Parts: sequence; structure tokens; C-alpha cells
Amino acid sequence: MRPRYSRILLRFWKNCLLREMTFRGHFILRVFGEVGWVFLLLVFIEVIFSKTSHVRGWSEPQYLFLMGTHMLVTSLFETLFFENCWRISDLVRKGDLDFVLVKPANTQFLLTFERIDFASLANLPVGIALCTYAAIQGGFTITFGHSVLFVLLIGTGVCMLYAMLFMFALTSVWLIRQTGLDALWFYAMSLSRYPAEIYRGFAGGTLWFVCVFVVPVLMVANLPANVMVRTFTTPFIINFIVAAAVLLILSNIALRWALRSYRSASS
Amino acid sequence: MAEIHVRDLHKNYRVHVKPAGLGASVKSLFHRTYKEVQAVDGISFEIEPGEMVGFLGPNGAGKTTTLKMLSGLIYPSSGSVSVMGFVPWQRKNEYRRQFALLMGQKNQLWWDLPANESFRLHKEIYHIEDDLFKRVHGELTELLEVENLLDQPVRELSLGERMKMELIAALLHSPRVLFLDEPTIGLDVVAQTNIRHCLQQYNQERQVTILLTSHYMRDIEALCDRVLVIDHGRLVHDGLLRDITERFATHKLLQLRFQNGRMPERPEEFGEVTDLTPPRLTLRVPREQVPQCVSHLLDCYDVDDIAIEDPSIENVISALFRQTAEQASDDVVVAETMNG
Ligand SMILES: Nc1ncnc2c1ncn2[C@@H]1O[C@H](COP(=O)(O)OP(=O)(O)OP(=O)(O)O)[C@@H](O)[C@H]1O
Ligand SMILES: [Mg+2]
Repeated sequence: MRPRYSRILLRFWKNCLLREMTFRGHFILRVFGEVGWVFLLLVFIEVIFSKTSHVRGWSEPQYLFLMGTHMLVTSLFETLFFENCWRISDLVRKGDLDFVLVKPANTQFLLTFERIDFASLANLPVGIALCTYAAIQGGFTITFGHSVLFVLLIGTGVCMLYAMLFMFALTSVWLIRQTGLDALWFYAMSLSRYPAEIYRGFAGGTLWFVCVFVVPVLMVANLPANVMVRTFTTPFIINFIVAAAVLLILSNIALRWALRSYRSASS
Repeated sequence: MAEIHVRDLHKNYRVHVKPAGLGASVKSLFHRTYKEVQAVDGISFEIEPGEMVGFLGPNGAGKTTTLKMLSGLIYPSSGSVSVMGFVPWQRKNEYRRQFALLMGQKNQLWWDLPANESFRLHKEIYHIEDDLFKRVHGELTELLEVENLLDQPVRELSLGERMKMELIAALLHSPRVLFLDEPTIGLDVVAQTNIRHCLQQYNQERQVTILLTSHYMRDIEALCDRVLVIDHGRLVHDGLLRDITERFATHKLLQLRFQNGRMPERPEEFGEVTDLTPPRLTLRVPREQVPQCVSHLLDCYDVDDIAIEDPSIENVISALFRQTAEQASDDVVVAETMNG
């Protein structure tokens, strides 16, 4: 008898929705916070482009499209995975991971999908609107094939971010107190918001090289945006997808490894 | 074939020795000293299907650690375990579907939601069929008298009510083996009896195997014929609860009532005086001296009434724990002098 994962998933989401509904005020405040932050960023971009027409070869509409793409990626990641990764350190410290481990279902699945953060979903329509606006303003020609690739790459990017943060969260099995996840996510998000080209100058390009080719975190928004509104090369896309797949596999290996060292806080 | 089979189980924890004081703490950032804690130190036992076994021991004896290994949460340092033919720490789904772990100090229900929502989630995770779920859910909520609390958020329940919900969550999938770690901790007498009763009934109806720890002797007395007593990670007794008195009680209580108000002038010659309210006298007498003592008293005095009693199990066990604790601290002293 295999566990029915789709039904478990539905139940998780339903429970999260029920919980959100009991704390309506909190939910509404968070949505305003999320969306408000986006408008601040837009103002910032307006200021930059009032001084110059291009940033490292990106025109304003292209840049806005990148922004929109970035919002899609981060909003999906935060909705689906951030809270789940965040929770892991708490589960370990209090020993509540015990209850996940005794359940007859894949442990990584239970850890990955138990929570869904509906408030973060608010930025998804904003991102779509921004992309649409930028595409119209820039007069980009967008084919159906490109759009499919765009969606696929966004999915790949979200998976990549997930694998990275999940592995990072697992270090709490050894460190017990692990509150660095916030900071890591902040860096990943801030770095990937801008065109990757602007990092070429730093530290002889090492950081740029690692973040573009090895763990292509810089590319999670850049690559899909490039596919739609600039140029791209196929090997680069393959590199990106392979990197995400490798990270996902590594995250599973890391989990098995971490569980061997899990001590289960005493009760 | 035994349902639970444990052979020479060990679990060592390597713990960082934290020195006191800030200076020493800074030093320990660079040079850490560790010590090995032998939480479980070579335990072996077998439990037959349908048995209800109590697991006794003082704080830190290694009970929880053993249960965690049996439920596959942590890996042992050495030794072997088989539960229903499975090796727990392989965490096979077939195994996990057939046992339940209940920990009195932790809760697994969704804090902000009614317990019923958590139960429905369990239904999916354990793949419980609709009919079975409805029946078991109905039976358990009725047995524990919580039907009217099912739709109240768990955070609004009292400790005892929440514990009952936790118990339901643990039993919903009809486990064959139950590990209960202090299921009645912090509950009032009524709730304790309630939970005890539920476990008893459950065990009788379904022949589930239960291994239970508790610091309340009442739980153990009511539920378990057989007990495992563990101390400092070692098994010190495996057998019937009442045999504990046989084996470990060193003294008996002698209760006497004298006629004519004539009483022994120096009662302490016969044993330790625990109560003296003329014409009554209670003495604590080493077991082997009881016959001699009684005959002497009966010869020399006019005894109206006499009763020879075993001390209560609770007293025997606490004396037993104290005794092993003293032994252990003696060992430490010996080890220290040897080092120095
Ligand atoms: N995660 C851990 N890390 C380090 N040491 C631990 C850990 N868990 C337990 N210990 C140690 O192992 C020993 C046994 O602990 P355990 O929790 O099994 O005791 P117990 O018999 O359940 O006690 P209690 O009756 O207090 O619940 C204790 O000395 C404890 O300090
Ligand atoms: Mg314990």
C-alpha cells in the first residue's frame, strides 16, 4: 500500500488554509507588506532609469521584465518552501522531528510540503502583471515555445532554491541552533534580483563564475528573463537544469546523512 | 516468535562538556572536551504479542532513549532490535504503519486547528479506509469522552483533553505495537484513570503489544503484570511486578498492638521504630530476622494483634533506585581516586 501523496498534499494545504482563516488580520497585514515592498523596488528602478538608459546592457523594459520574473520565482518559493525549510531547525531543536520520522510516508516529502504560505502568493499576480506590462512596453516578440521554456525554467529555479535552502536547514541537526536561514535567503534573493552581468567585476569574477555555472543561484530569474526578452544559449540552459537536478539529488542524500546524526531532543 | 526482540542494545551520546564561566567558554570554542554518556548500556529483553509491559526507572535511566531506538528515531551504538520482524531504524513504511509512539511531553497535533483536522490528515498519511476511520474514530472519542471537543482548536484544550486527543491520534491507524512514554504525565486522577481504562480496553480487544513508561506506579500496577526496571542504562529486573517486592524488599513491616499497655522498653532492639503510639508499635525489621523477632515478642509480651506486611511497591522501588544511585556515586568516587 503506497501512501497517497496527492491526498496528503491536499490535506496539508487545506489545513494551512484553515489556519490562515483563523488569523485573518495577520494574513491581510502580511499581504500588504509583501506587495508594498514590491512598489518600493519599482520606485527604486524608476530612479535609476531616470539617470541612464541601460544598466549593463539591460534596457528599462528588459529590466522590469527581470524584476517581474524575479517576483514570480521568489513568490513561488516563499509560498511553497520557505516556511518548510525554516521549520526544520525548530523541529530538530524541540525534537518534534520525531513525529515526522514515525509517519509511514517519505520523510522529505512530509518536511517539504507540510506548510504553504498563502500570503506570499500575493506577489504572483503582481509579477505576472509586471512582466506583461514590460513585454508590451518593450514590444518584445514572444513565441509560445519561449513561454513554455520560461515556465519550465522558473520551476527549475524554484527547485534549485529549495534544494539549497533545504540542505542549509539540515545543518541544524549538527548545529542545533540554526537561524542563518533567513540571512541565506536574503542574500540569494538580493543577488538574483539584478542582472548577473553586474557581478562580473567583483573578486576577479570568481563569485560570478560560481553563482552562474556551479550553483547557478544568480540565474534563477536571469535565465528565464533572458529567454524571453534577450538572448540565450542551449548549453547554458542544460547546465542550469542539470545543476538543479544534481542539487535536488544531493538534498535527498543530505537528508539521509543528517538523520543518521539526529539525536532527538530528550523529553 | 516474540513481537519485540532486543539484544544487547547500547546507545552512547557524545556530549560536549561545557565549562562554567565566560573565560572557560571562550576557551572551549577552540578546544572542546567531550564525554561519553552511556544512555543505554547493554539491554536485552523479549516481549510477546499482546503483552503489556511497564518500563520503570529513575530520571535519566534510559527509558526514553530505548523507546526512541525501538521506534527507529535514533540509531543504536550497537546491538540489535527486531519489532514485528522489522529493524526499526530502517524506517520501512510497512513498519511505521503498524506501530505508534506517544510521548507525554510532546505534541504532534496542529496547534491552531481542531484535533479533527489533524485526525483527517492522519487518515491520509496512514491510508486508513473511510469505514475503518469512521468506526475507530467513533469508538475512541466515545471511550475517552471527547466528542464535544473535536472542533475546538487544540491550543484551547486543557492538558488532559489534549493528551486524550494525542492518544486518539496515536491509535487511529490501529497499531499492532504501542510505545507510550509517560502518557499520563501531569494529568489529574480522573484523566489518568480514563486513559488507563482506554489502554486496557484497547489491549484486550485487539491484543496489541504495549510498552509503557510512567513515573506513576498506579499506571504500572493497573496495566502491567510484567515490568522491566532499568537504571543507568542497565536492566536490573525483568519479571512480574509483585516479584520486585520479593526480590528487592530488604525489610518487612511489623505492626503490633499490645495488651495491658505493657510494651517493650527498648523497642529499637527489635528493629527500626517507624511508629510508636501506645498501645501500637510499628517496626521495620530485616526480612531474615522477622521469625525470630516475632517469636521473641510473642513470648515476652501480651500481643493483642499482629500484622506482617511488605512495604509498598512504590517504597521498594524508590529504595532500589536510591541504592543504585549511591552505588553509582561510589563508583565515581572510586574512579576519581584512581585517576588522581
Ligand atoms: N539527545 C541527547 N543528547 C545527549 N544526551 C542525551 C540525549 N538524550 C538523552 N540523553 C542522556 O541519556 C540519558 C538517558 O536519558 P533518557 O531520556 O533516556 O532518560 P529517561 O529514562 O527517559 O528519563 P526520564 O524518566 O527523566 O524521562 C540521560 O543521562 C540523558 O542526559
Ligand atoms: Mg523519558
